[in-house]
Amino acid sequence: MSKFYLPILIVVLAIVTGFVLYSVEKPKIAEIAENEASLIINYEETKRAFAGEVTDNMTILDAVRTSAKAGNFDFDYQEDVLKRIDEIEQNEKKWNAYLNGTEIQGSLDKVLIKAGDKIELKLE
Amino acid sequence: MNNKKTILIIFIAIIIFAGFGFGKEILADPDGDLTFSWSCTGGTLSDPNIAQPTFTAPMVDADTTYTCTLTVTDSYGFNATDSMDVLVKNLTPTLPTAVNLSVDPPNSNDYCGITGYPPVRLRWQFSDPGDSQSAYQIQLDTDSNFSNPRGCPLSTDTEVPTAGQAGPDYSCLAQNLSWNTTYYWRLKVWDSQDTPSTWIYPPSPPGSPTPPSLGTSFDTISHAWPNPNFTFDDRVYSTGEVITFTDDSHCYKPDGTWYRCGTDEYAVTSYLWNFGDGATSFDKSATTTHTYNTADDYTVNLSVTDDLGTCSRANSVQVGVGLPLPEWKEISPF
Repeated sequence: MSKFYLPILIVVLAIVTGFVLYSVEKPKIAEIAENEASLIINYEETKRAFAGEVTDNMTILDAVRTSAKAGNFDFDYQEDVLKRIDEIEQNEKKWNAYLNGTEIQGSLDKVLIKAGDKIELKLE
Repeated sequence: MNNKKTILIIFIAIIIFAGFGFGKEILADPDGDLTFSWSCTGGTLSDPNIAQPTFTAPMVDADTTYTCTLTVTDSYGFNATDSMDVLVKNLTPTLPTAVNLSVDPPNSNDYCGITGYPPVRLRWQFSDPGDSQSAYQIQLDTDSNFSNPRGCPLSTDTEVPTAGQAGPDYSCLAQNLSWNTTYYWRLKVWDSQDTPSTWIYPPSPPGSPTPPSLGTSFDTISHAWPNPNFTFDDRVYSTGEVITFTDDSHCYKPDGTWYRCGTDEYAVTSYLWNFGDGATSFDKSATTTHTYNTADDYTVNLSVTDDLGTCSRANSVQVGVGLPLPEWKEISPF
């Protein structure tokens, strides 16, 4: 094999390996287990998803908390308002929460979730 | 209260010696007529040469003992002498008074949390041996002649009952003064018999040009002390969760308006946050954050200092134990 193709082969292998590892570590949202719920953070062009087991009396705010730990971000929730996720503060746009497509009005720490629920936080 | 109560004091002790006993024995002497000779170390006798004179005690400032001696002589020149002590007590009701009049310097106990007026505390000690204070009256005025006085604690210039309050130390927190103003003050106290004192003035400092009768004036401060406050979402937090505290501390200007202390709009201020877990912060921002690593109830204390003083505000934050949340993982959103 020519020395010319060797670097190209290494790059291609690295990309393929990374894609495989990414696919293994991050299951797709459509593939979550039956006893799990999911949470999607959707702002501007960015979308992040989290999933995990649902325990008794777990609320939407609990899901945000455990997702924040998994995704290494912080958030600011005051007076029933999600004011900030990481550096993304609500300004002209607001952070709205949806549970299975229905917008949540009120406290995120009062709404219980169950397995199969889909939570979405959207800046809109 | 009867201000015109007569305080004319009578110090008279009338001692009648008829009860001496030996006088009657002498009167019974068979040797003829007897002569009597009385003398006392003080006071006056109505007639020192009769058997039963009247003794009038002198006025005394304190309890005093006098000795009276009687000498009886018969017609043969034989005589006998005896004496007795007479204790004269001062039963004068003394006028009540007050001492150690003073004005407290501004302090956090009185000045924190009060923003409508300078909360000046006036102190005194009631003085009347064996008696107690039943009421007081304080006059405060910007005029040393007290031409338009106001009272304490309120504006009404009247006496204030203090029955039931343990003495002799008393104080009054004036609630009607103006900022940045010079005041004169004087005090009158009443004892348990409703006897008033004269007006009592705080002492003039040595060398003061102020006439002693006017006492010492004091100046109120120019504006209220800081009023620290902060808010946060009142709920149970999880360990590791970022808690945002929003500063709502008010500092004041001489015109009575306020500003958020952290802006330093009028005076340079300093903040000290104590989060109760050993962590502190000097953050003067509109919001400050903190994260607790251990579940517990924490007391968050904020102290704010401006150009006049330091005040503090504490609130409790509950970081719940609860059941541990399940560990979630990040997944592909597609």
